[in-house]
Amino acid sequence: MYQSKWRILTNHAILILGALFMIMPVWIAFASSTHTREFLFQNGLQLWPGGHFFENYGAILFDASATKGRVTALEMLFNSMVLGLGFAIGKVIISMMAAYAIVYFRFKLAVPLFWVVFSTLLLPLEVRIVPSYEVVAGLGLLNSYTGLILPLIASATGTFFFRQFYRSVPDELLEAARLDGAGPLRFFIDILVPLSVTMISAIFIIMFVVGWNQYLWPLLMTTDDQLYTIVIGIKQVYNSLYEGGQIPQFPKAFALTIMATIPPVLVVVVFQRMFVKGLVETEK
Amino acid sequence: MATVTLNQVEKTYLNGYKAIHGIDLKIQDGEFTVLVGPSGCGKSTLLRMIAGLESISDGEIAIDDRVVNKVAPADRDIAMVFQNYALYPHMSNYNNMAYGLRNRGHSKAEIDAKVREAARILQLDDHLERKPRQLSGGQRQRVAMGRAIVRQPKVFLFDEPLSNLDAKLRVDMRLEIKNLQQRLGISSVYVTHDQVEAMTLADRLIVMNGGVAEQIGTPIDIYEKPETLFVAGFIGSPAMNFLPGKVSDDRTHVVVGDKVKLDLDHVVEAGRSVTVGIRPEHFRLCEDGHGPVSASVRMVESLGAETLVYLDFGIGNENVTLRIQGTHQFAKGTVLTLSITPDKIHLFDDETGKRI
Repeated sequence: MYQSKWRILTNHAILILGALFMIMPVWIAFASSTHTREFLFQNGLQLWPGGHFFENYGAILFDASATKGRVTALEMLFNSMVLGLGFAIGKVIISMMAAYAIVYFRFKLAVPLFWVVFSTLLLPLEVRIVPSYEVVAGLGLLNSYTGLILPLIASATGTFFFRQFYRSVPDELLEAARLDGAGPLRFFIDILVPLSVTMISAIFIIMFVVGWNQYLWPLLMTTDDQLYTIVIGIKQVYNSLYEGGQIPQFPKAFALTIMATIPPVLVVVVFQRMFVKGLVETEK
Repeated sequence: MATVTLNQVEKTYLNGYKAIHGIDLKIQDGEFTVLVGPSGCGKSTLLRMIAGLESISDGEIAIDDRVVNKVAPADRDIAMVFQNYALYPHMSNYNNMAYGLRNRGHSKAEIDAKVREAARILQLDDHLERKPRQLSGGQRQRVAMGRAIVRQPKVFLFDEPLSNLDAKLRVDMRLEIKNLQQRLGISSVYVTHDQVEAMTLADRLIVMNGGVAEQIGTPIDIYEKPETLFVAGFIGSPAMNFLPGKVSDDRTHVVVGDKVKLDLDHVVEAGRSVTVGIRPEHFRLCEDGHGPVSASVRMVESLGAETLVYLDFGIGNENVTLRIQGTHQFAKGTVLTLSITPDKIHLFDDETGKRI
């Protein structure tokens, strides 16, 4: 399509402005995180990085007292990673298997069951958080990774996506595999899983980011500092800002925020191509 | 090396639709059997029942002497080639062929030998490491056949394997399939709606219609002596001409329309209403103008090697097709005189559609 010079210029101007609009807050947070707290308190938010990068980040990563808790940022990152990975991997596995059962096995309640699963989309975590908490508490899973991940692992969205994908796989593949002597398990592992790789990575990425950003659930579930995720950590650091007569820990709060955004961004950047492929095309 | 026996096989779907109405059939060892019929006649269903992909509602299917009604597809010792190839897209062609053997626990060396042998026969040696999507349609079809061959099954099942290929490739692959089947000597069942494929490939042809085997026989038998009106109309291209007729009082002629009177080679009940079937290629042009049939030309189609002439027999608006060798030009309205030898005239009962 032919585009005039002016058109190209305006298009780019709009895109660049949009990009700046998105990036600036992150940049300000980063720049501000590299100053001393006294400097920041006196001069406000900073646009240019200062000279205390290693000092601030080092303290927050390795020194538990810097976060005003009994846990370092490194430990919180690890907790978040466990939650994000457990959440994403668990969801992928559970929804793949659920969709496999719904699509390939003719049992009487398959269709109603699918719609029951699907209708749980109407009941997000926030709605059922009290009963969920009750169940997990009853099982004695408070303050454990299992309790953090397990109640969130069923996924209507994932099941739906995999169901749609499986339904688009030609029946002849199943028939050929049956003639080749592949049972249900072999067919799933040898044929369906490799065919769904792009789909799996797309859902994995989405779910990882969602899991990483969970706030309410980990906040309720974990009373022990050792299990804090980084998203909760940020909240704790801000909480401690106004306690005591000290100058607030703004740089460290910003540093923690920056660190919390890095892993999801990395995951998206690294898997971006597969992610897009998985959402737009089905390879058959 | 096996026989396949179908004994009063029926298929009724859960919704009550009856797709197959009791078929009896015995496929001899090494025989190439073709199931042919219009779409929806149940030919694919029947094949899939032999394969075990559809359950059998009634009757029995036996491979050799073993009844396989309840045997899983993988344990029936059959191999199937699908219309859309159904290759595993993420596996190399080698693995596509090896997959079934691996699942059956063959040793690595044995699998390798079998796959390479099949690849050699099918001229796929250079493509083994590639994925199916990197191959052309014909090559993919060969991989699909390779997957069937490596298993050395008792029976090959083909479900319209050539219908996704272009016309030229279809002819090549047709020859190749026939050749391969003869060389391996494996009993085969082949489903197609293409009557050229059916005529050329079949040792024995089964013409199906509405879930019933209308006629079973060699292709030539079926061409020369179609048992029913349906078979007569389905086999042969251009299709057989059908004309309403009445057997004359002296029982040696059939009268078509007002003036056409054709000799018969067998005696039929006098005055009976029949449908007269004559193949376009069985008319003979009488150059001298003396013959039992006169008809005027409506349209001419020249195909080079042969010419199709559409004639007005004066019976309704129906065209009667005439097929003559070579190139001919006739002006519209030209009156041609034709004759037919009595043994090329097919008579069918008006009510039952059966051959008389």
